[in-house]
Amino acid sequence: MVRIGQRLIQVAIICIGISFVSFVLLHLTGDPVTVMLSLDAPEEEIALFRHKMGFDRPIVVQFLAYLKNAVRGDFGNSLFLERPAVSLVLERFPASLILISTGLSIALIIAIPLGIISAFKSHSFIDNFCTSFAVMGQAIPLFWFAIMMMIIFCIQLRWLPVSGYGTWKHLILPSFCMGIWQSPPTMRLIRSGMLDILSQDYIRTARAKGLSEGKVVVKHAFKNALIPVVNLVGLQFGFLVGGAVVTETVFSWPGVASLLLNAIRTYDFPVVQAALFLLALLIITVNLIVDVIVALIDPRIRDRQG
Amino acid sequence: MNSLGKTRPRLYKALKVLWKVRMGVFGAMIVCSVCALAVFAPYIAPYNPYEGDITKRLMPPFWAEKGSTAHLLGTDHIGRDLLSRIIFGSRVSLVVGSVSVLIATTIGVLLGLIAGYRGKIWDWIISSMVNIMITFPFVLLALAVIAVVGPNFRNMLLVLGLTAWPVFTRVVRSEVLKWKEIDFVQAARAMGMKGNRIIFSEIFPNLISTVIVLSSLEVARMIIVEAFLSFLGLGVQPPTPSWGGMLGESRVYMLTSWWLATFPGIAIFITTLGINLMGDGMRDFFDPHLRYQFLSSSAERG
Repeated sequence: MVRIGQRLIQVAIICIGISFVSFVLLHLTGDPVTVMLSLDAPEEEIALFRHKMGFDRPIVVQFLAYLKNAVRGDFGNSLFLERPAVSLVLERFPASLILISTGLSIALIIAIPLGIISAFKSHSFIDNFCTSFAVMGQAIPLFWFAIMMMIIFCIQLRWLPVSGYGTWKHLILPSFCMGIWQSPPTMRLIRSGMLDILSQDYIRTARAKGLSEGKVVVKHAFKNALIPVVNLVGLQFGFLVGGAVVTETVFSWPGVASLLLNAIRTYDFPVVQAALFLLALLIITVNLIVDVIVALIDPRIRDRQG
Repeated sequence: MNSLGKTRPRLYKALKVLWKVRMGVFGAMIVCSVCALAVFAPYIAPYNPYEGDITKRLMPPFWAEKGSTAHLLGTDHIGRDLLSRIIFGSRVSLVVGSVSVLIATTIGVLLGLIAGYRGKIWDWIISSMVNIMITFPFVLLALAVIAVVGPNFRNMLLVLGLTAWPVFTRVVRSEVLKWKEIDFVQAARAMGMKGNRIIFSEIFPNLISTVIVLSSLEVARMIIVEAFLSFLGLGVQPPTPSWGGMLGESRVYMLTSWWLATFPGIAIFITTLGINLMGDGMRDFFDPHLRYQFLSSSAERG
């Protein structure tokens, strides 16, 4: 429990840190007033607008006011849509979550068996094949891969819709792209984790007892390999969000990332800040959940906490 | 290692090691070729990458119907030669990749050395910064900054460099923590050597190979990020040929002209693959433990 308490403090620090970074960044050079009002707007109107939005206060004051509101979930209204930025972002969350979770599942479905097989038959043909595949896979830029898949399956073969959202057909290609893109690094990590476990004493003992290889894999090795896999999901989640930015852009998927990108382009500060903050919160929450799960399934940590 | 291995000439041993890391050598060859393309682009490229012939727009590659050997990979929407643009595009990717990694390495290694060696409050501050930066998807951070400071070549170099350092800090910090406890460093400290000298003359030389390997792998990642930024229109601005920018332009013509999206992507793929292979090969080559294994196993077989 102490551990979780410490983590929560860390979470708070990270959230404040990220909001500070995003806040300062967006105030570095971009003056939203010049973007929002037309160039020939009279001086008084600009000054009035600036005052109304609070842009004329010192930056530290602006940040504290922003932080105070952010804690209450209030990031202000979108500069263009006159709606609370938070609700705009939250509306887009389900789409992103669906994409990320199906992508992650596909990556794990591909990576876990391949990782285990290549660890067991290390330096065999299968292992070499999988490893070279992983090396190649890691060199493919996701956005190009997505475009290629689109050209093949949507334009040439016409099996799937090019972009959009709503039915399972729309989900197939984006989530497969994410999954296939994410599987090489996942596979490599599972392979090395598994190799690590296979060299442990208890595996040797199990083999010495005369257990069949299948039993060794399932009962002894895999159970222990689960811990690094769960840990890995937490670690990879941040990358997946990065991947979602790419995938959502290419497939015009209506998720948080595409909203954010749009907001960045139009200097819609409140939306950018709300999206960055909530995405960070999401990543941190997932990591926190992963920590709790690991603590529950890993007897070494579980017993220490009593 | 047996006596057989020792009697072989040195060159033979070196060749054996090179053969063991042959994929790395292959990667290095790819990297050298791409560098050569970038340096000698004006002499190699068949056409000017900026000038198009509008009457020859959207020509497919030479093997396709209506293709011509005058434009081997076809032409783009304003009739510019795709091959020439890809050759010139290598310049952007390589410069962005190497310069941004140079910036990131310098910052990251310095902070890592400080955090690892000084410890205490320094470690706490630097590690918190690393945690914040690493928790957050790097692409988003880079995107947000570039959109704010304005998309151009110099800003992109700076932004990529200034956002990519945490990886180096994390690795260097943990390495320093390990080396700090080793006897010769302890001895240097007992002899009264100053902290900075211990860091730079006793600890740092042991980290060089790790840093080189990590940087080379990072170059590949930066090339992909640069391509993505340019793809979104937030990186290198047209008409400068860049692989990502070409992919971005190709989206409009995706329905009819598949080659516009395909070839720049293949160029990115080959380059990053070469760099990754080279990086992995260097890791194996620098690892004394692995090198010993190579030599002993080859000696046993030989």
